[in-house]
Amino acid sequence: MKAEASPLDGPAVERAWRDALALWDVSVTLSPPVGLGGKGKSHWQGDEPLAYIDLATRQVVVNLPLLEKLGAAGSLTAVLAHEIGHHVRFPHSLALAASLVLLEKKLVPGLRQSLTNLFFDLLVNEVVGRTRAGELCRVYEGFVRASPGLEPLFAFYLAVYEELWGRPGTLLPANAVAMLDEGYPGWRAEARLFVQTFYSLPGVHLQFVYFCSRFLRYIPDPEKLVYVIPLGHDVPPPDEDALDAAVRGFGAEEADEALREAKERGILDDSGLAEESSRDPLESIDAITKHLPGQGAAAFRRALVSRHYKRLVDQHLIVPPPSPAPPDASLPTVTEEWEWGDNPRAIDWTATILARGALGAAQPLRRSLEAEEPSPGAQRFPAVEIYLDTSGSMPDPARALNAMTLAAQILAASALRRQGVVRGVVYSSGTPLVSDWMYDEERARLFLLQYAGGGTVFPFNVLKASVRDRDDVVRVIISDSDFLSNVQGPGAMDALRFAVDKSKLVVAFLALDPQWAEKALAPVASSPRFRLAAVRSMNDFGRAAASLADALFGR
Amino acid sequence: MPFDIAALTRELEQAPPTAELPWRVAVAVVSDTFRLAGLAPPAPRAFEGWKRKWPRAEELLTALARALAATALRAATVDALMDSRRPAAAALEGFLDGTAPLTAEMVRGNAFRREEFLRQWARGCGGKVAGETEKQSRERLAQLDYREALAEYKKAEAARKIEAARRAQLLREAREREEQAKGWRE
Repeated sequence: MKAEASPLDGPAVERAWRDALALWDVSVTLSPPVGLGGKGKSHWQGDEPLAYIDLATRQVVVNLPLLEKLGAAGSLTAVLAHEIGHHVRFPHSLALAASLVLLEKKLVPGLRQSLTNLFFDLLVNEVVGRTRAGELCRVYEGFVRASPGLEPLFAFYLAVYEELWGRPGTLLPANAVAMLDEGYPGWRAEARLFVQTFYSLPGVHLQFVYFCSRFLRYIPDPEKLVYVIPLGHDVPPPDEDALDAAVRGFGAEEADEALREAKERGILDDSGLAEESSRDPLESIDAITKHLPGQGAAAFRRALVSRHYKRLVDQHLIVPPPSPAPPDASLPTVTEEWEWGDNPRAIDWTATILARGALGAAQPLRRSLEAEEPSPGAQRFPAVEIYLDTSGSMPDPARALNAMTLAAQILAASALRRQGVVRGVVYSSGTPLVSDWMYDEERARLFLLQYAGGGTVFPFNVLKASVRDRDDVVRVIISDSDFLSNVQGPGAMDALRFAVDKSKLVVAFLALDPQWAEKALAPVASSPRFRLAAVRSMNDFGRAAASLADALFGR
Repeated sequence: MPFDIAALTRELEQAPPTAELPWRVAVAVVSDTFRLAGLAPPAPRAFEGWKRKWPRAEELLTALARALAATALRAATVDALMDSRRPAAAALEGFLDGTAPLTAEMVRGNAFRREEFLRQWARGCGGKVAGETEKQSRERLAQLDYREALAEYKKAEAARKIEAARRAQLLREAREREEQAKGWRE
C-alpha cells in the first residue's frame, strides 16, 4: 500500500520557497531549504529548532516534522519568509546586530540572554504578517498548545502580535491572560500602544530603545533570563569582526542619538532602564561575552581583547620597521671565462696571467663579487625575554586597560616586527607561565594577555635557568615597587647579578619613582648590562615602552 | 461611495509634501466640502470657538483640509454627507472630539494614527468604511482609539512606577556586581 505523500514533500517545499522569496522580492544567495534531519549545529543555539540559516553553508534549515507536529504545515511559506527576512533586512548586517547588542548591555546591565533576536522578529513578522499573519499565528498557536504555562515575556510578545494583526484573544490562553492581569496591570493597553508606536519610530536604534523600555517590564530578573520562544533563536549571532566593529564605535553615534531622543520623548521615564554613559571598550567586550554559551566563549573573548590591545600597540608603533639593507658585495667568486660584452673591469689580470701566461690577454678570466651570507652567530635578530608582573595591583587586562600588559605587548611586537623572537614569563605568586620562543605576534599577544591577580613573587629560578640556557638575550622585567621587595629575598640579588652578567642586557622597567630603586638595585646598577627604566605614571607606560623598544632595537 | 481607508492612506502617504495651509484657507476648504454636499457650512465664529475648546483643533482641521484637497477623501465625504444629511457642525464637533489627543505630527508620522484620523472623520460624517460592517468599523475604531488606549495605560501608571523603581534598583545592583567582578584593587 502506497504511503500518503507528506504535505511537506519536495514540490511543496519548492513552492513555499518561491513564494517566500517573492514576498521580499529579492534574490538571495541562499540554498533552498532542507529538512533539519541530522544537520550539524554550526549555528544553532536554542532548544526549539524550527528553522534557521546556517551561515557557514548559506543553507536554510527547517524542522519539517516539528512544523507538522505543531499543526502548522501550511505555514511553511511564512516560516521561510521569516528566515529570509532576517537574512535580507532585519538585521541587514551583523555589525548592526552587534551595535544593538552593545546598546542592550548599556541599557540592561547583567542581561543574561540577548533580546535582539526578539526585536528583529517583531520587525520581520510585521512585514511577513501583512500577507501571512494567519500562518504565523498558527505557528505560535501550536507552541502555546504545547507549553504548559507561558512566561510573562512570551505572553506579552504574543499580546503584541494580537494587537498588530487585530486578533485580540486569539493567541493568549486564558491562564496567560489571568497571569498578566494579575502581575502586569494595563498590559493590553501597553501592547496596543507598543504596536501603534514602535513601527513608526524613526531609526532602528530608537526602535530598539523603545522595545527594551517596554519589554523589560516582563522580565522579572534580567540576570536570570533564559527564554525559548518560537523562531526566537534564528538570527545569526554577531561574529568577531562585527563585535569588534561595534566595540570600535560602529553605531555608537546612532545609539547615543537614540538615547537622547528617547529621553526627550519620555520613553525612558517609567522603564527602569539604566542610562549609562559610554563604556570603555574592554568593559563592552566583557559585557558582550560574559554570558556567551559554549566552550568557545573564552577564546572569542580573548580574540576581541587581543584585537583591542593590537590597536593600542599600533598607536605606539606607528613607524614601520625599515627593511634590512642587503649586505655589500665583497666576496670574490671563482674565475670564469671573460666574453665580449662582459664588463672589462671584471677581468682579473692577476689570475689570468698566472693561469694563462702571455696568451692571457687573448682569453682573460673574470671574477665577480657577491654578498657574504652572515654567519648565524652574527645575526642581529633581537631575542627578548619579557617578565610580566600580573599581580592584583593591576587590573585584569581583559576587563580594564592594564598598562603593564600593554607595555609588554609593545616590546614584544617591536621585537617581532624586526624579525626577532620573544619569550614571555607571566608571573604573580604561583607557578609562572613560561612560553616557548615565539615568532608570531598574535601568539605573543595572546600569551601576554594572561593574568593571575595574586601576590608578587618574581621567579628568580626561572630567570637563572633561562640564562643558563641562552645568554644572547635582552631580558626585560616589567613590574612595580614590588620588585624591589622581591630582590631583597634570599638568593634573589645573586640570581639577578648572574642574569645581568650573562645576558646581553637586563632592563628593569618599573612603575615607581627611580630614587626608591637606587638603594635596592645598587649591586647591579653599575653594570653596563643593566638598565633601570622607571616610569612614575601608569599613563606613560605605553609611551615609555615604545621609547624603550626604539632604544633597544633601533628605529 | 464608502470610505476606502486603505486607498486613502496610500494617497496621503504618496501626496507630495506641501506648506502648511493657512487657517483661513483650511476653513475655506472644509466649508466648501459641505457646500458641495448641499449643506450649510458652520459660521466662522464656530470655527474660532472650536479652536478654544480643543487646543489642537487648528492643526487637525488644517490636516483635514489638506487630506480633502489632496485625496479622494472629498468625494467620499460629499457622498457620505449627502446620504446622512448630518449637520456640518455636528460632523466637525464629533471629529474634533474623537481626534482630540492626536497631533498633526502623529497623523503624518504614524500609520495607526493616520488610520484613526480618517476613521474618525468617516464616523463624524456618518459614512461607511469600504469592506466592513458597521460593527467591524466600530471595533476597529475602538482598537485604534488613542485616547482610550492612553486612559487604560494611565490606569496602571502607579503600578508601573513601583515596578520601574524596582527594575532600576535591580539593574543598579547588577552593574555594581559587574564592577566588583573586575578584580581591580585601588
